[in-house]
Amino acid sequence: MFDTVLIANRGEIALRILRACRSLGLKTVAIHSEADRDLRHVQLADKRLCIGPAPARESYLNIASILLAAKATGAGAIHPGYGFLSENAGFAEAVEKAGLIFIGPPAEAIRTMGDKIAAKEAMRAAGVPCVPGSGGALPDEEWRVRHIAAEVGYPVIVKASGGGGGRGMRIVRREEELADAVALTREEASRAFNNPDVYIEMFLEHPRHVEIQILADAHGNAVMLGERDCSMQRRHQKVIEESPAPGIPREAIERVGARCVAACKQMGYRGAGTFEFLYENGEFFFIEMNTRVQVEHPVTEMVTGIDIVREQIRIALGEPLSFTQADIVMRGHAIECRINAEDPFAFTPSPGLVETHRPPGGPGIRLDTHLYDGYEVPPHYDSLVAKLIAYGDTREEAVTRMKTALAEYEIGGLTTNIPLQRRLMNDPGFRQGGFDIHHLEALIASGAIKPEGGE
Amino acid sequence: MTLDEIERAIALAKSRGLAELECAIGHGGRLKVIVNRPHKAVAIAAAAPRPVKAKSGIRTRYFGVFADASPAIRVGDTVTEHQIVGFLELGEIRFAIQAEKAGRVAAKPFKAGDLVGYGETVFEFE
Repeated sequence: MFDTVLIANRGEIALRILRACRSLGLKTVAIHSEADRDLRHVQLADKRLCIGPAPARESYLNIASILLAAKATGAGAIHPGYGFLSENAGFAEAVEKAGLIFIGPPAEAIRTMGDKIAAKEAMRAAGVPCVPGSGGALPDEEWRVRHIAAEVGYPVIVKASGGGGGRGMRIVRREEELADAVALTREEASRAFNNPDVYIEMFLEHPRHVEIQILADAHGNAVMLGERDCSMQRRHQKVIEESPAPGIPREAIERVGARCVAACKQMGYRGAGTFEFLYENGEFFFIEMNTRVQVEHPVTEMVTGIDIVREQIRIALGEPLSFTQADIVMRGHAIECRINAEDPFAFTPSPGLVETHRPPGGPGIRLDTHLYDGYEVPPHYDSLVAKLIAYGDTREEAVTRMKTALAEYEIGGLTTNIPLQRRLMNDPGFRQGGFDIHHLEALIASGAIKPEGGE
Repeated sequence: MTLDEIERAIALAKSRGLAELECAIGHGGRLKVIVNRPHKAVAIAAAAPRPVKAKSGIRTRYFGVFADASPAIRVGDTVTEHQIVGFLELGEIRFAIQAEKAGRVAAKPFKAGDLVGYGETVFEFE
């Protein structure tokens, strides 16, 4: 198989992958950009190679360079981490064509899940619950549109087929508003996206973001590792994640999880994957599947005791899963706070020099970070610099440990969102748990978490 | 100007390591942000561009296994502008390394067979 893994990523996840490789006795190759010579995993890797200048498209996104680097360094497999090329089906294909192993799912699975409509079709076929809606483009006749909307149930959201990222959509609460909304969205869609097709979906007012982690091997075995609640978000960026999701009955999770496992088996999925759902009024609605390791995987690792990155590599080595669904027991509660190099209240990125790095510790505390004294966070990439994870027997204990850890954590010289995370730990909505995905934005809008005093 | 905009100006000043930021705002007004952080002096000094090895020489524009030109360039040799001074090999691909300017070679940190990364200085000039 392979004995050397090329890590096609940077930052904390590159270090995480390096550690997983070492736990399996595998050698590592760190490829990096010119701005990343000082990364911790670059220093620790068995071989290191600078493959291009700082901009990602000339280094971490340059498929030809990465493949040549793998050849030059004798790597037999490539771990893409998250972001960058991790969900690029063309890359997965190119890796396999070059005679190397892609540590991830087959290219076909990445391709299907990358196409929103194809992904939903595949999920429906496997019995995974999706948001009710018109399915395809709406017909022209007004009475038929009315009929579809009545069947879905108000409020509904009218979306442009060619839209995305919040553009080209309109919420309709009453039937009287429907015809105008559809006509307007059509007109906008044909102007903005050159495609007048629109469709209808049920509109969820207060959904939570709940996702299911799965692992599947190359021998037809698949398991689910429970759920994560990632409802604390700002502009679709997760800020805090936890497992298990507060207040959701275990049977409901197990039911939807079993559907995800069935879907994996049906499509011949391999590796780690995450099914993302919106959860409202006791029901799950599939949004999308991420065909890679997630940033927030550590909370699942803490409550299940399973090393997800290590399993990804074992699966790529062709080994069968070493546990069955019955062996997986979720115990305790874990919370992750993402630490970003950004202004805690204005959210502007703030790269710079880490003069001193004083990590927190104690029972149940885990810190995944590549920071060290004197490291300089370059301005070219994502602002995530650390993931602080607290584990406890109960959610309350995990929160208490997280508060202590956040109070201890010092990153001297760098502006980070630690002050925001400290405040969120005291937010009554967070303390109670079960808030929706609009909670943080509403808090910000209300002025409840502005800095005190200021400079 | 809203409170939010003022906060953004403060954040900008901080993230850029500025001690002071002044900008024009509506109706002929001016906003002045003074970042008062005593330890910032240290930070700014440290955050300033690090003294990169400013030695002039020939840097790689790709990566690969270093191979000498024929005849091999040695320490003490003089190279002319555009001269091919070596190669970077990757399987069947071979990239020529060209001197961007003339100079006399003071050091040659890599030898044939070494894997050389992007941006490395393969020949240092005097």
